[in-house]
Amino acid sequence: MSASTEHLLNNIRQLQKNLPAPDQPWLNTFREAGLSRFAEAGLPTRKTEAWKYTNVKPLAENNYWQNAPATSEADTYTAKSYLFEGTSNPRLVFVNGRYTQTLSNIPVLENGVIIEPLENALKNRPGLVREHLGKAVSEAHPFAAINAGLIANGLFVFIPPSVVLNEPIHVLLLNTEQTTRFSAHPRILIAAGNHSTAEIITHEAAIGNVDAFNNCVTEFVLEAGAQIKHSKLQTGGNTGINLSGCYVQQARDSRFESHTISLGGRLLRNDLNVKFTEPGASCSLNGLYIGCNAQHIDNHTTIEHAAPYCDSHEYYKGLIADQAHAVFNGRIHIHPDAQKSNADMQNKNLLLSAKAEIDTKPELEIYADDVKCSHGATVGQLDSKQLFYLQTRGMNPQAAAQMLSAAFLGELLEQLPSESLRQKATKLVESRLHEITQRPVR
Amino acid sequence: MLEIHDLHVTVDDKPILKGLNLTIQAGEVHAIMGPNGSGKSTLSNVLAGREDYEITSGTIKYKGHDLAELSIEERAQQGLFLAFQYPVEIPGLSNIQFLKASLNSIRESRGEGPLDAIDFLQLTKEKIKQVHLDESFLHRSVNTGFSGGEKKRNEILQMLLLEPSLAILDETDSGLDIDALKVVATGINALRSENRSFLLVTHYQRLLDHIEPDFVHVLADGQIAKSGNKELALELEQQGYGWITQAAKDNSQTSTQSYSVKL
Repeated sequence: MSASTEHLLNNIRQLQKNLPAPDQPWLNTFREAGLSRFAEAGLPTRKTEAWKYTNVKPLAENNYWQNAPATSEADTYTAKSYLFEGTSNPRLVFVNGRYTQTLSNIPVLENGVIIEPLENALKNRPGLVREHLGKAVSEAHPFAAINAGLIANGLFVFIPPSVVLNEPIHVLLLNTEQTTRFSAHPRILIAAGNHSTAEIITHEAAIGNVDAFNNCVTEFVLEAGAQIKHSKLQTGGNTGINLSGCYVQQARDSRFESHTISLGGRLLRNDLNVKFTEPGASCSLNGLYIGCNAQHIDNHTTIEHAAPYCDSHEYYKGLIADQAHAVFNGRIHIHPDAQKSNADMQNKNLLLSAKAEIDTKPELEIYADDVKCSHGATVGQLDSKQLFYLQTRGMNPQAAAQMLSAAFLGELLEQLPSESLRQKATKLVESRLHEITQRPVR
Repeated sequence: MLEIHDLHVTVDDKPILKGLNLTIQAGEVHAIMGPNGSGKSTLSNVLAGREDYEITSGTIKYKGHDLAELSIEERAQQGLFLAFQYPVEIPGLSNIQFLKASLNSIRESRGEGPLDAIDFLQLTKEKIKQVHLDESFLHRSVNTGFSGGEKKRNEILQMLLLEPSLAILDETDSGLDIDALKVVATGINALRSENRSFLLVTHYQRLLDHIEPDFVHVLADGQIAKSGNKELALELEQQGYGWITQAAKDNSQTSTQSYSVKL
């Protein structure tokens, strides 16, 4: 173990000591296993292929390894403006990593549906949590390992077989400005029983110059025929680090749909890993990202076709302006017995400035011989003929550029399943594009 | 309305227009005809303000302004409209959004407020009927997947909405079947008025069966080689361009003076 990893591990152990002591030995074992996985992997450097373009060194140098100060009334007040409209939806609000009951809303649930803070679930139904926890996070991802080592806060959702949840579950993870750095390691665990259906909307938001490290892991365990839609909106934050992992395990004939809208954050990394363990499963992963100023936005996805007859579709589009840097790495792994797999992956990028950068990399590993796989990556600029056309119709170059940028990204907003999220995201994208295109010199 | 004097234009350092003179008064309809490569589309694009076309000498006055001083959008805001020969497709931008943004930027430049959604929709639905396009085209992406004829009708729709002072139609008739041609001609005729002018750039005479021009010019080798009335178009239809282009060549060989036509 390197000295820096050991130093970090000590910091993490300090944090762990502050967690409520588990009264179940398995939970302790689970945490310890997480920490030893991290000790083995260590903090990734840019020599690690998966972290070649994303520098997480500040995590070793700066002390993010402490909890946020207690949530103040001002924080709670600020958080209110981030809530989605509509009151009937189940809503769970976490401010600086802590569950905030006063802002949350858990309606009376029928048919055995469980939606509760992870802390409570660990006390109330440890058996059910244990059955699913960590099931989808199979690989030794260093930050997922840290999250496991610090497991305590977060959310547990259980949808019993054949139950259809009509209202989307809203989850707000908000970090507010504090006088010290801090980190949050929430775990969201969604267990979807046979043929159940649910929609989850996560909003990861940061306010102003919050210098926090958000290390959130969302885990989906889909039983046979389950259908889950997950939308993730990421906004705000001129400083700080957001590493957001999503791990999905899919049994026979299940369907997972994901929409990731990344607009905010100084350093933002999404790891989205899907594994098909049985035949007939399918997933569709969509992503939209806008990078401006000195933002760094990294989307790493992995789809494991470990069973035959599964379909995966992936479509990510990004617009990068100013000195921003975006990364897209899409890995598709077709295992030897995964015949009749069908996978396609597209990544399209628009660069709006000479200093903007995108590193896009499709990675296909195919070990079966009867499969259909396609992938494509494009990087372009605004089309001068289209700009000219709009200008001949009276629009100034800024308005024309904004309109064409919105046209480029629009199809991903249209696909958002929730109407309220679509409206919210569309407005946010519009104002971000306005901000970018109105700048006189880029 | 428009006064072009001794206009020389190069594209990639290649001279295309070589001393073109043309004056269009308010209310007039001019047709410019000519063989491929004579500079017809260059003229349209220069007037609209395309940046890769360089004016090396000569002047263009539009409504008293030096046209070269106006940005592309200012020209449009001053009522200059170009119906494109090949309108671009813009996937992801709905036609209605595009039309609304166009109309409102032009209204805004005149100090008028934007049309509200209801008034705009009513106006657009009225105009789209005139070009025989289904209302569903309003909700499709701009020109995306439109047939050639549908694209041209969409150009005419924009013209009807924006009500320009000078409309330049760059080979709007090319590739149209007779029904589409009639629709386009009807759209143009509907806008004809004493304070609005048209410049029809066309390869064929048949558009002029439906729109009667006040003047017909033949463009050859970057200059107006001959001007006349609508009879000239018929003559060209029968005899082709050969006799004029040959004369233009002979002329530029014997004399370096620019050929000018007084209207």
